[in-house]
Amino acid sequence: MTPPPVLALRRADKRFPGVIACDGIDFALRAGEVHALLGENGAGKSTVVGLLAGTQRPDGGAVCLDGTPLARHSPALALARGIGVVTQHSVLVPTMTVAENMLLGGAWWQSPARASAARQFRDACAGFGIAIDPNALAGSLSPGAQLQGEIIRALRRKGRVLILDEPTSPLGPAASAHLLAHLRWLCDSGLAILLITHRLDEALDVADRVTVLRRGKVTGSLDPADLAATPRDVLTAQIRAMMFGVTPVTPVTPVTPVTLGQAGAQGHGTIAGQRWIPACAGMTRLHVAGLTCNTLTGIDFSIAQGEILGVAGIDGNGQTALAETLAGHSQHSTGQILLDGTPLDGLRVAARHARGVRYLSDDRIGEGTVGALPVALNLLLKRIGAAPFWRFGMHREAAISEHAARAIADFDIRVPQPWARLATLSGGNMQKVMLARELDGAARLIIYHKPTIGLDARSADAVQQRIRQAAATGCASLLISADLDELLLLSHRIGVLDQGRIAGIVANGPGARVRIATLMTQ
Amino acid sequence: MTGLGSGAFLGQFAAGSLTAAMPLLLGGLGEQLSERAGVLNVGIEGMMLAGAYAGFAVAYSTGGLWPGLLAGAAAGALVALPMLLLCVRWALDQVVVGIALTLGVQGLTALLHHFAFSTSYPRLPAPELWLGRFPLDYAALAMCLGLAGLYRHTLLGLHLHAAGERPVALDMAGISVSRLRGAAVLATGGLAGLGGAYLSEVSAGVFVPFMTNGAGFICIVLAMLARGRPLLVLGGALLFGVSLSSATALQLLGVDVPSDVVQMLPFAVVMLLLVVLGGGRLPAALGVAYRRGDR
Repeated sequence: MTPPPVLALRRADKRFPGVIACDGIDFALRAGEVHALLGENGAGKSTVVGLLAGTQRPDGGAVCLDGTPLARHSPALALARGIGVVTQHSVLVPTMTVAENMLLGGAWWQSPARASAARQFRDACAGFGIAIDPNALAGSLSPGAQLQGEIIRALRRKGRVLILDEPTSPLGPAASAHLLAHLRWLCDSGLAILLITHRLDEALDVADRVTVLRRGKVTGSLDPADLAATPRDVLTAQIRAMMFGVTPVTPVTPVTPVTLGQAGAQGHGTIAGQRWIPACAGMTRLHVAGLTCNTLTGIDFSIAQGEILGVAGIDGNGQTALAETLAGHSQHSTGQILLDGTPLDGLRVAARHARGVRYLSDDRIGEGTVGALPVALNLLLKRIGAAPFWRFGMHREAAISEHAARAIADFDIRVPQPWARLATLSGGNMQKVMLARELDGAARLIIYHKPTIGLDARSADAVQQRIRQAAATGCASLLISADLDELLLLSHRIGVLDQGRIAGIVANGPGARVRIATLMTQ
Repeated sequence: MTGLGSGAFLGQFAAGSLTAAMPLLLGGLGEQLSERAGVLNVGIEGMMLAGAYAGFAVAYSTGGLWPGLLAGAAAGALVALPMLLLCVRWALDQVVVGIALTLGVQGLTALLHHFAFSTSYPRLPAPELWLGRFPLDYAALAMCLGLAGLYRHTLLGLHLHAAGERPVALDMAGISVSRLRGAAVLATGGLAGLGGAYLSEVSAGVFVPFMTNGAGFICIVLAMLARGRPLLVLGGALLFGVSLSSATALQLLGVDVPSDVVQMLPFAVVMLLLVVLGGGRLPAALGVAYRRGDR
């Protein structure tokens, strides 16, 4: 009889406001195995980690240790039970030395044995084949080194389970390969390892068992026999299907496939074959060449009139930098941005706004609107002081009300009256206020950053409809989204951002999902 | 203007400065402890005032200064208890709760004083001295060194540092952030109450409504300027002691400026210090409530 799994989730549910992060998940870690957990953004991977680590409490179901459901679980109990966790974001105290960080958690009256902790840490590093100065402040280390430090701390406790959430993201290829080889060696000594990643090859290189999550549910799992028996390319295709739910995709707007002549002449090697352009298309509106800043490298693309270019990618691969660099929030970039042939470089937000650049932030409440101001003023937030709404520094209520009434009617904003405070609106209506503000007649380039995040299906529908309508008037649209379905629904072409570079641009159409999935998981 | 340079006057002046500094030192050490753990204790003014009233009332009714000091510390901790519940357990805004506590205690102590002492305004006898000073002075100096040692040479010190900088790191290391912060808040209340009791029992010998008169806020400034170093709190407290004492001395010497101007001196020093020394780094998680698993 096989022993029960060391650590398991049994029908675990976890809900957050508006999201079901885990929906009846069954998942087990066994001694001596590397278990890879795969899934795209928001699939529920980090919630699984939180449940196992004791930072999240399940709403239903149980966390089991050696087959027994745990009545109580917390980070302290997890440590006592031999569960070591390395989370996605560093949890070292940046203002303490690495050695001091290693000492956290001991009995409070003890004297911190800094020298011996430093010595132990240095030895452990040597055993791992890396070199990190234990007396350096943790905050001065690179993200990769911080992560390695945390792994060493987790191993130092000699536990039974090691949980690693996206450990290879901050590491370069060589360090990643080194870590994975080391994991293999560790689990051969009897440790149960949970490896979370979005890179398929890594998972297949090292894992004994694979589980795939999608939207909070287990959509598939592969046991050691499956992994051994199936060729790599078949496995990859199977897993991608589980991760992204491959279903036939039909673009919703009537679009005409046009063989790409113009774009080829503009010298864009990344655009291959066909692209889908609405009937009104033709001229290039936005042309970006060699755009580089501290998180972006050599971004090249162009968007035609009426075209929607989607941007896919795992969060944190440069999406925010791309949006803010184009909108003018961040000025520290090199390369060229041409809007209708005129350079935008060096222009600040207001000047770009005047030239028709519009930006819908993903931070609706913090950055996009002012909750304490009335809806009518939020609709004019980027035109404060401009005629005809303001004259001689005084605002003209009649003009502002009239403008608001028109926007409220046009965009179907559900609000009792134009002077109601914006904070009283639902997320969907807030988003409509932002859309109404940005999609005025003068818009030429619109940057949408996760436009439907946190919205219910109906509001999301309405927003997507607007995005399409705005494109139909000839605006160039850049649609950054973590939701692949949304990108496939709206975009003519979809680029994949990976570590600040464009890994490729795919024309929407049959097979696009698979090609995007491939680019995202390479 | 006689006797300005005389030894007797200088001795008086120094003693007065030290006596004025002591409540600030105790409160400042408390506030520093709380801030180190990541809790901005704006209620410290109220905690000091509660300590001042309870200390005076107990000392007056029992006739002993020491039971009074103990009662003062207990009263400070009692006022800190709602802060613990509201800000540490339930993650409410620390500044709002702190101000509410201060206002509440101001009203309550003024009311209690009105019923108990407003007709008689009793005074306590001058405290007995030991080697020329009140014995608690030596204890406070020792505490200053003790806390410096605790911050540097115990794991508790490291844990407090982590709670103020990166509470999630502490939580993941298996130490309860809310328990540690809660203990720090209570200890702060105790120290602040002790400082308040010192103010009414030793410095003044009498309780007057609102008598802390901003001392708690000066403690907050001291703690922020001193960052994690208790000895800097001592230095700052002495500086304020000197400026408070010189406000009195200038009046005694009959310097012809309005008393309001003289009484502004300590606060002018606060602002000057903030301009000269401010702008440094405070703990990253200061004032931010910690809730496990927030996202």
